[in-house]
Amino acid sequence: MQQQPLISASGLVRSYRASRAGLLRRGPEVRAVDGVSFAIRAGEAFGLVGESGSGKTTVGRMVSATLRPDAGTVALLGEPFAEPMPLARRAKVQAVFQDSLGALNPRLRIGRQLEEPLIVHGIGAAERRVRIDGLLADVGLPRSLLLRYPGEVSGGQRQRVLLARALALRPDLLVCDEPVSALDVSVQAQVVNLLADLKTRHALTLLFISHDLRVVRHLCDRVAVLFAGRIVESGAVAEVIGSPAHPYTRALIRALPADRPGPRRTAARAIAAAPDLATQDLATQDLAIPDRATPDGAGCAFAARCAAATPTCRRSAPVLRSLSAGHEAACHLVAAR
Amino acid sequence: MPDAAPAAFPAPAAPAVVSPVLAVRDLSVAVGEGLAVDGLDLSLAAGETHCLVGESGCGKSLTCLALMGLLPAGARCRSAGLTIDGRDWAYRQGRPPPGLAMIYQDATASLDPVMTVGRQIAEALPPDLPARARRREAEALIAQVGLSNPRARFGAYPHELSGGMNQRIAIAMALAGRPRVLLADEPTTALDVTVQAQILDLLLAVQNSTGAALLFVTHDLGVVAQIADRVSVMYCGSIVERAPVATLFAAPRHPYTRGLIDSLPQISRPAARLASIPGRVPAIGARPPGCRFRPRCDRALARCGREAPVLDGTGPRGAVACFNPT
Repeated sequence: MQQQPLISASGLVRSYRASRAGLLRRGPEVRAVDGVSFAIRAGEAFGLVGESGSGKTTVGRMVSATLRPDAGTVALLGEPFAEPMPLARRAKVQAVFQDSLGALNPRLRIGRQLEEPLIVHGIGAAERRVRIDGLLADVGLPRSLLLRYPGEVSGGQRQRVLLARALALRPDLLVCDEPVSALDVSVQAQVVNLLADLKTRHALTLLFISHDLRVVRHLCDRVAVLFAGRIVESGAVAEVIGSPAHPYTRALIRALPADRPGPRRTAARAIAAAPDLATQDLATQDLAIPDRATPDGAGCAFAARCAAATPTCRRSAPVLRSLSAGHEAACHLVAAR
Repeated sequence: MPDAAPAAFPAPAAPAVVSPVLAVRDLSVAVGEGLAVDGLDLSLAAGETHCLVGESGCGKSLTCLALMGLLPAGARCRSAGLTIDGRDWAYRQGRPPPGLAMIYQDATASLDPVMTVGRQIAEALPPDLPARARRREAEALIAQVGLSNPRARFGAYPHELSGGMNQRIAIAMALAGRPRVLLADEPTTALDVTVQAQILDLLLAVQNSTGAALLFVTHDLGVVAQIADRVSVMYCGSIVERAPVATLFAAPRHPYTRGLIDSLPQISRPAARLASIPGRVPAIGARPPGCRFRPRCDRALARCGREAPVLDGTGPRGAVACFNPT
């Protein structure tokens, strides 16, 4: 029998009203997340990959119970999030976001900010001191940092402070939204290694949200690729990146910078290699922002960018179909292959 | 480490810079008491793509801003020997040298929000151009950077365009002055990966058609691997290694270069752990004596604490500033 997932999202939908229509006119409704479902097993690192506007941050906020879905549910060990959420349950899911400066109070010493969640959850002073020492050791920060203010320490150290604060309540699930994107590559490697260590040491389950497939490849066990608010492909990381099925996943992988220098890639070569990107009409939309003004669900959202799109793709939206054990893609052409 | 580069990365002959289009000698920028850029030498051949790599705080951006004469308040240019296309140029604050143009990381912020992008491009064109030719030229540049319907785009404001489109406009503006050297400071860092790929392609295409040299500042070694001819690795204001790109990746000599390359996650070769460089770049006032990389270095010798190594370009494998290179 299959183990019950630690966290499961089913049919998540969340819309925003676009503000750009004008000062007084209300903009059209945009479905940032449009029917996203996934399940993460305990101890697993699950990557959620997509470009700006794909809805990945909105998914992260719904899973970490900081945003209510319009439809769909998130369940922790089979029990759906309720509102208001009991304190003890809220502690089970913690989140770390990209902007470490914005996530900390600039006027409070770091020590105080680490202590706060423990105070809120009624943990005594002696126990708090023990826990904070343990947390500092976990994330590799010196005690002297406790007396500093967030503005006085480096970005990498702040990201560790956020990690420590998120871990303070011993959560089961840690949601990380682009936690390393703002860091230099050497510091990024330190934080990625730290996350991998924490995962092993504390049997932590991770929802790791990122635009960087390279980092996801290193840290995660499974990955879902998000496009225009829907999952277009998911599966084991090695399989999705090694043999991507969806044309969007393939385009994302092709667009990655090289690992090592090879033959000089000229513009012509790169465009020939990525026809689905090159033929996009820049007059209508920028590439990164798919047209979601029509939330009626007609057609595949990627069809406008896809070189292989057929009339079927423009007529009906593909659903996720299983390709092999655990590997799914939402593409009419993949199913036909 | 063998002396010859592994066959997997056949190293092209290092492009000898016979008559450089840009030659920088002993560029120093002071910030407070310390030197953020400390005696930097650099030369670029026409058509060359030269990547300047390093972590935040290494002085990469200040190097570009100093070359442009656009240092921020608090930073002073101490010395700068600058030769562009054979002509010497003295540093003047607020006066970009002729033949140089720069592209910034945040294109949307670098454009004027209340002026149409077309007018901004037109203003960057040579001043002697008549008005009608100016508009025609600006539209041609908009088309050249890959935006459709240039006539309509001419009248657009930056907020109406996406980040990727604004970076294209910034490139068009840079091209308007017909530069011999393009400086690009992390121009794709804020962009999505598919848009980044397009902007990189565009920069290389533009470079092909104009023959300009490109000095590309980045912290992403993946981008370096993809576009560079030669690479200068910068640490604490100085160049610590310089080599053709294939040589640099196949056989990095400075421990810092090796650390940077090893800490880059690779899509084709995932490792259980990423290598990382311990510690971080010291602040200008807190630099150690001797070699500035010593506290983070796993190959440091006693000598490294006493003396600062200088960039030695006499060997066959590029130049390195290290007493104990690999």
